[in-house]
Amino acid sequence: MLPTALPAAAIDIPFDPLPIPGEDACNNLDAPIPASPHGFGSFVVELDIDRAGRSADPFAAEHPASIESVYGTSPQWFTYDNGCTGQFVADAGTALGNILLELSGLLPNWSHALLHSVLSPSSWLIALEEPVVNATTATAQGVWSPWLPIVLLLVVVIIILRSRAGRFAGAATAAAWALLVLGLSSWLINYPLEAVHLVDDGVRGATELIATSFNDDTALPEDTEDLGDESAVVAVDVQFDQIVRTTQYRTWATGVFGNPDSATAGEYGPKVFAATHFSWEEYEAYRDDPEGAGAKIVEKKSDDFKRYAEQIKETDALAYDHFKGGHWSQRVTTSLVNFAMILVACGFLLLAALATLLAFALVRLVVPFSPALGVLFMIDRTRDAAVAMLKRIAGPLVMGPVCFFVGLLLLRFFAAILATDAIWFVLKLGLIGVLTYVAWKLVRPQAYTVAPVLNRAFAPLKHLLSQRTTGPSAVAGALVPETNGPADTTGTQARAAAVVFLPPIASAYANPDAADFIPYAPPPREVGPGEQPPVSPPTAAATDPRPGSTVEARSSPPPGVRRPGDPARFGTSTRKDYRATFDEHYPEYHETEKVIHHAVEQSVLRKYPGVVSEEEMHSIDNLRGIPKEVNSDVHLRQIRKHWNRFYKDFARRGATPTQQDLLDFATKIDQELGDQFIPPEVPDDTVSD
Amino acid sequence: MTLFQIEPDVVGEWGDQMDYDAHRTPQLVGPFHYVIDSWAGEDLVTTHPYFFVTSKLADEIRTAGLSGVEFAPARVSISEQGSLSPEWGEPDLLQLVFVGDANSDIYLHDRVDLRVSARAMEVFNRFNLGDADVDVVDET
Repeated sequence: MLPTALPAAAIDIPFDPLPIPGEDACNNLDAPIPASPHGFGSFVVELDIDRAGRSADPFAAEHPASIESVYGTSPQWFTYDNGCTGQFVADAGTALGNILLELSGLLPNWSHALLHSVLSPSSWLIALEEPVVNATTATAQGVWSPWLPIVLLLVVVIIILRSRAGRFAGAATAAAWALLVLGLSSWLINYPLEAVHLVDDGVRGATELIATSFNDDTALPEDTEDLGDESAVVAVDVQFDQIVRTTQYRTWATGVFGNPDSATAGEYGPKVFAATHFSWEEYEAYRDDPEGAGAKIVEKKSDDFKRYAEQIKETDALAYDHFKGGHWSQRVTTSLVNFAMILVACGFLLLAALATLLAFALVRLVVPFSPALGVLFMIDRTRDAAVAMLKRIAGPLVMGPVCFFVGLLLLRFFAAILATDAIWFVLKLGLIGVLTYVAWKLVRPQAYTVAPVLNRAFAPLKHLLSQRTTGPSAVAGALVPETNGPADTTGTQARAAAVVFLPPIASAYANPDAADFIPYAPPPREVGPGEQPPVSPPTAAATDPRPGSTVEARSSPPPGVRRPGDPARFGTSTRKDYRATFDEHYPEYHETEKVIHHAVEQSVLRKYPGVVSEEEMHSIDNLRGIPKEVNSDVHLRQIRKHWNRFYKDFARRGATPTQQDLLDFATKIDQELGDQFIPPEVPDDTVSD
Repeated sequence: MTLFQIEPDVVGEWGDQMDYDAHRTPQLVGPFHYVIDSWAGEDLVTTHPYFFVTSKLADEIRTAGLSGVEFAPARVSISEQGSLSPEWGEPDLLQLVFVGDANSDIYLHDRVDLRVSARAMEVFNRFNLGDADVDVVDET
């Protein structure tokens, strides 16, 4: 009995790409139009990496060029020979897979492009060098030169005044700052480019070091020493190529041949890839002359494709089945998995590269400002403002290179993990995920790049969500979780220890009657025999500086700093060592044994994040001294108990205090208990009387 | 039913060594870090919105079979400016975890106030409550 079906490869059907009149008339037997290296949406960036010539074969032995430098990072699938009806479903599924391939191709490409901008000696950042020099010169001429003599004179006066008052430490500090700023600013003004290049060269040198330290003969080609300034560029290119090969190309080969490790995929993969994709060079030629040289390129690729298709059909029926695109669901699935892989591997790299570039751009921006900042840094009073300004950019400046180095290390690890055959694919994904997670936690590149923007952008949405999730009914529900009722003595204890219940502190907007809410106020203190009654609250007018006030005799806060007795307020501080801040501002109490207390408590930073900044929290305006001789423990407990009631009052109503609420309450505590503080919280008019 | 609302002493402030995020639920994961300014042997202390008991009082609550709370470990340290009396040593505090409702012996009223039954108050009264404010609440 004859078999009813024969294996496809055993049937001798001569391959004819031309449609057969009749049933093949509507078949899709045209070779696919080669895909652009820029990808669907032309989002893929071409990098000027040219280590083996632009027409080098990235699939040749030893990989003389990266796939990205020849074909970009977004390979595209095609459909072919699906018959009259099958082609539509295959086309739709393949298009979906191609979108995912395109998206996942952008991450390594953009990460690489950003790192390349930092590393390449011919980077576009060079274009900023002339503006840096011009702007620095202009700022020096406009601010530094005319103001320097006046500022120096002021510094001398400050030093003399402090010396006369016996404040030698303050005088020495002023002199040291002046000298330091003078030296640094002069150097930056005269050598702005050298200052910028100092950072650039450091980053480039470290890149080469990291790449070569891990060198396993693939991180850097053997001829690296001949590459000179380009060696860092090549090292990074080789590592990104490893990622692109093991994710993008491998996914593409899976979709085309069913199995990227099959003999057919090994032999025909590079050929079919070349026949279905434009290289950068070919694409340029096509774009310049679509009817001449371009048409020839397309015609050749079309012929090649049909020839390879015929050969695959003859030699590997299973691979040909995938080749046609009929298994479109496999293409969609693999491209989805690949997208996840790329997201894990390159998400950190992209943000790290962004942080690095931001740091490089900031360096170029800060140098021209240095003469103006130098003037501000000379004097104590304006230095705080200058430091606060610098602090805002210090994070990105420092963390940029840190992110960069961590990104490089990750890249090197990823390349090594992906290159090895000894690890199962899912384990590779897991390992890369763990490394990425640790890196995110350690460096948090998003905090210096996209997080501030995203936070602002999504603030209304978060607010809306918090309204929905922390409304009165939701909060009440949260109070009685599934643990309600008799305690489960068998298992609840362990869970409770891991996740401790906390009554939520909800948003003020969650409570409809929050607007009418009058927060807790500390009751008037009982006056003991022989004790002065607490002073009445100061009026707004009392905050005005009053010439001739006797407060100078009591304590001498520097100009701009809150006077004792004034309503509570925040200033800004550049350091966390609040004891040192207090001692610096009130040297007369330096020797007094005391406890320094924050008028608005430090826990507010965590209880109500965003309401008070750390700079405000530790500012001298928010610090109060309590001498130990007046039983500071008791005083502190009283203050803390008042604050506890204040927090409870807000929590009870599901409200969040504003900064003004906190300051008003601190003012009330100052009025009730501040007469025992150092300096005493007594309004000036009371002292003057 | 007679209940008691206790407002214990606040002997310190929040510390940094804990996993707390105001935007997360639950906000606190793991032990709370209580930085003590001073401690005079109080067995029940607070810092909003948490309450703590010494392990001595916790044992007594368990022994008496008072319902409504479990205990979680707390991290305690002494503030830089604080000092402990050698008489009392370092407090061994456990955090109260409220797992009951208004029918329990110990529960959280209105999300913030510590309320206890008369039976629980008897137990608490045998311990050092320091300057805690205790109010009688008559709930019928």
